[in-house]
Amino acid sequence: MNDNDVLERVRVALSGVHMHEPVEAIVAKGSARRRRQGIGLAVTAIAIGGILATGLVAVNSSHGGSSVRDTALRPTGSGQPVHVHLAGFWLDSYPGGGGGTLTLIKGGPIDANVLRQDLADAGIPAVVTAGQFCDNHVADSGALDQVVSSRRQADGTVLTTFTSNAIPNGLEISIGVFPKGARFGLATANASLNCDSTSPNFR
Amino acid sequence: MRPDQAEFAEFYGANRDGCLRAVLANVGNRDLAEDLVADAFAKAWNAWPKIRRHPAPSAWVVRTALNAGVSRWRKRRRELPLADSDAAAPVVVSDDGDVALMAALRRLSERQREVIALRVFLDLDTDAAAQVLGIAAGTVSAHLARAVATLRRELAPAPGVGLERSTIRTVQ
Repeated sequence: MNDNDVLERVRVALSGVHMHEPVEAIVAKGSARRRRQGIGLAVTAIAIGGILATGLVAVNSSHGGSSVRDTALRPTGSGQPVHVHLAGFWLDSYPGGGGGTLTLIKGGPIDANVLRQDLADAGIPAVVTAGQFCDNHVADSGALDQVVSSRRQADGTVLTTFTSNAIPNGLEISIGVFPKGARFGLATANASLNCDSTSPNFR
Repeated sequence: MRPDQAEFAEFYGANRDGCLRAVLANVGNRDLAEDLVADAFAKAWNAWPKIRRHPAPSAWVVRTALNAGVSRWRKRRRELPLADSDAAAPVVVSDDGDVALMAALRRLSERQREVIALRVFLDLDTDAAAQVLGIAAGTVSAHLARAVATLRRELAPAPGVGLERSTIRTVQ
């Protein structure tokens, strides 16, 4: 058998397999999923509200709003390719520090904990916080342009591209996840962070 | 029917069999494959304004289905810690295909099966498959070459024995 014979045998072997589910059933299932996500989003909003309230208390009781880095935020991944497609965001990373694409879906719930873990799995050094944005005032704003670029598509989806290997030594990406969007910046790794829970004026 | 629903229905009709075959070649279980593919298409409909602009929507469905399959396996593994690994799971194809071939496919690596599925059942070229999988085109070619070599070796008739075409069973 040559290569084509092998591939043809694979093709022929399953040529009698057919999907019988009618499209109406698929659409109904998708619509039901959308309704469940709506309920989940409401629950998430309530949970974020609780986190925000707790966070505000914590910030007010700390040193002028500064925060010591939580070790749980540190990236732990080995830079393996990661392909995650969720209702709130898609993350596709590439091996070898080649960066990745993070797509934020308009109206989709973004779980900061999941995003944090997925970025860590992808080996993209990032601080991800819910309901607040944390950095330590990195002066070189041009560096951020080298690492992150965003553009809004016609349907409102924000396509954000990371280039991991452009992150300057000693810095990491900071992402603040808010109910209506996300804010990006750079932070010095292994340093105290200043966190601001004021939601940006997303447009 | 709304225009977007009509467009999705056309996409579903044109790709459902190919997606099912691609997933079945990977998971080896007809019922599980149908379930995963139906769920993946439902997700595609849920995000259709975005999926319709994906460079290879059918490949998105297959990847989503396979990712969901891995999640189910992990969940099942947590629920049943004494259960054996996926590699040892029985191949269930009933009368839907070539049993020897399906068994040979299950012995390929996960990545090799994915490449085979994308190339054979979705007709993606090397570059498109590489983009979908997030790997280099050369890596796709290498996986495909290794997979084909393994399948050829596994499926080759024993010396002096002709290929038994009767082992290929299909159901229309």
